[in-house]
Amino acid sequence: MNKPASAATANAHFPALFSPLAIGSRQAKNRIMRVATTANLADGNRVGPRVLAFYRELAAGGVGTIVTEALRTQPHDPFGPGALVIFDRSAIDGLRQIADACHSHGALLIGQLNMGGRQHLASRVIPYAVAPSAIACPRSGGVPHELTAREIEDTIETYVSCAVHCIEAGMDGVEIHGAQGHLIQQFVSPYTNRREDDWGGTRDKRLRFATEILQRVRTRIGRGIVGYRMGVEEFTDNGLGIEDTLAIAQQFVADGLIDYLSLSQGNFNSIETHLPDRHEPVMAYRSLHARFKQVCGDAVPVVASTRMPGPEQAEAVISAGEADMVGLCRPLIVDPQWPVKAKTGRSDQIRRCIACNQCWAWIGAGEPIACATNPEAGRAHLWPKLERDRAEFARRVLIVGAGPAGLETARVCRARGHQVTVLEREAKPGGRLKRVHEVPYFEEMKNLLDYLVPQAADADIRCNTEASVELIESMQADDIVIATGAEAIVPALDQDGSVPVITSDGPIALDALADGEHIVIMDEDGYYWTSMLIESVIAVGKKPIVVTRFFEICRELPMVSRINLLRQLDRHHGVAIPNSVVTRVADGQVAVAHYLTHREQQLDNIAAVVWAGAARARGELAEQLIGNGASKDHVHVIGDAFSPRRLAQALGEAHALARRIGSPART
Amino acid sequence: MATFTKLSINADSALVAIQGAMAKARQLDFAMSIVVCDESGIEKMAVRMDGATEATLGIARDKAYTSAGLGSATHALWDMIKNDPPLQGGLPAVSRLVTFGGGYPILEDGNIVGAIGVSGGHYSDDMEVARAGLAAIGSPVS
Repeated sequence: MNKPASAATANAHFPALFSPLAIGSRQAKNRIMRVATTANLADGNRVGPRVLAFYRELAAGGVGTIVTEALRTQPHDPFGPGALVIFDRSAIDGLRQIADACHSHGALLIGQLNMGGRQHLASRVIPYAVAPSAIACPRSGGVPHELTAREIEDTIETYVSCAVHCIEAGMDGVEIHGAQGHLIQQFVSPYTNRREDDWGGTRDKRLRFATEILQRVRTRIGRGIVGYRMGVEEFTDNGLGIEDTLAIAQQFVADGLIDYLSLSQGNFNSIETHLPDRHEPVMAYRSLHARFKQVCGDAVPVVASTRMPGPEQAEAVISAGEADMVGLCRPLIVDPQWPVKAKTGRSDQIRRCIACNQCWAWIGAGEPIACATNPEAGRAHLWPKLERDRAEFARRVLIVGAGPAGLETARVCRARGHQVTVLEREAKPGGRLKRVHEVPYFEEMKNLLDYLVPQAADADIRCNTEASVELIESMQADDIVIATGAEAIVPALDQDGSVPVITSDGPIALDALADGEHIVIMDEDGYYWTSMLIESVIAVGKKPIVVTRFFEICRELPMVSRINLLRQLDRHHGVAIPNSVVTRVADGQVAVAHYLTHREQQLDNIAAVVWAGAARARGELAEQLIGNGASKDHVHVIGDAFSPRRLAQALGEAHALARRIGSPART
Repeated sequence: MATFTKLSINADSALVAIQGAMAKARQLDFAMSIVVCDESGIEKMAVRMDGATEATLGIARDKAYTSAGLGSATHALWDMIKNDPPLQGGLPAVSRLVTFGGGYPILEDGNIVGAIGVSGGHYSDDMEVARAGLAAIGSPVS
């Protein structure tokens, strides 16, 4: 199976990654599998233009095998109108459009079937929770209904009829989700299955639910692919360990139950391992996954998925024989053209994931899929492909500010045929994100500027140039884009200077500090800016005290990063003080008041107060230009210059604006 | 007297469906029987491919009849009856009703205008071949 491609047909850049591979009865054109990811882009649970464009974009990017999002298998599961359903035969005809779109680009399409069982993230619908045993979900706390033997039988048949529907919709096969602590893993694991009947009590009985599903699906769908996604390790006391799962994999392969084995890890008790963030190294879990290839041999393809931002890492895994395929999720959200760029020697043009997991935060909340750094993710239906989207009228576009918003505007405007000049006050482009990669666990933030700066490079970028009204007016641009960002500020505070009150856009400068063991961080941000400052404080050897007006610190930080940050905070003797504000600095003491009762406490031994998130928009150039007679239709204020927000909004506004300039029908 | 008008698949479309199904059967290397009936379950056109056994023709005919008569894919009837003991025992005992895969209604604009039945392989093969027949005439899978 793992035969090297002949020299004549091998890809010159990544020969192992772009060699074909048999999966069951089908042939995948390369070793790249897009693993299941919720999109929430359906319209009224049916295939509409948004979800169709999303899958078409994936397939057009060159991925060989696409696993759908977890198709909803039961009407009583909690899901919103953006979810794709498979239990209903009337959904089949619409899903066929996705299969046809994938096939037209030579990609295989595999339908993923999952039931969450006791596990639920969504809170807006009271969850329907079932499980082998009535043990509460570690995240929601909800106690599930313990399935009866009759209900188990029905549940198995539900998987089977849904699998048949996938095949009827023209898909190449199905993937049974037995990982990440969902229902099937709940049966397999002694951590969640305490039954003493035919479905639990011994290892073989715990496995029976999975094997019955796989056997019956195989019988009923004929030649279609039957894949299995398996958790390799639960990282939970009394849960499945690697030796258990290696033996299960071997058994499934020996019994001919599966056509491929796709690897994942963790359950909702160890949810940060599903989608590791920057606290885990790139290629985390690689050595665990490699052991499965050793026991499965060449009997069925083994798919390894981890944090794998680039094709170099993917090629290394395949060519070392550690797996037959790589499973990509986030890399294809941030850049669906990852495969075709790799294949054609343009790896340097791949936009690489920054592992912030904002995508998961959105879809977990029932929102449509999107990406913090790719404004087109989930919005492919809005615009033609950028390569084909020439503006009707070529304009002279002047952009003030080379931060993320300015650079994205420049990139997209250049691609659409405009003449672009960028004025940047500082010596280097990057705006307020220039230095964050110097902070531990923020190194990969560099990926953002490493993509944007070269992509915008054929614009005329003039650094060390302060954009005065006179200079802007003298340049006689058709469209002026104000992307001047926001200025981090410390609000007016009753302070005597005995403890410095500062802001920072990266590492904390030691020379700015007073004596003291702790640094107070005032979290007005609730997101990555605060978490970056907490890591900065830890990096200079101080103990963070994080104060916030909100119910909790870093309240909007995506879950995986929040788990890892709170772990960091505890390990470094940090403290969180929610519902509170810093009110005063006097005589070396910092006063913190409860936001709801105004009760005050004094903190001492404080080296500094770092203010996170307070900022003032710097968009005033726009009013001055319009006041001088510039047309308000051609002066645009975007990103933090409009109001201080986050990266995703800045890039999204920049992209949408650049798609409008020179195309009057879109305004 | 009150009357109503029904739509019925014509012979040309029945032929195209059968040809589409036959092509898929050949691709999968099966000798099959394929039957298209009208909206009332009356046979419109049938083929017993070279090598297909006599029994397959009767089963294909009954699958088409079942799909037209109940407006359902034959395998979907199983999902309907599997948890309902009177139906599970009773429905398959009704003359000519088939409750495993291989029969699909033929739809146009939401109306059942006929049905296709296929027999000769495992039911999963019969279903695949029947769907190729539907695709040849642009009927959705329902």
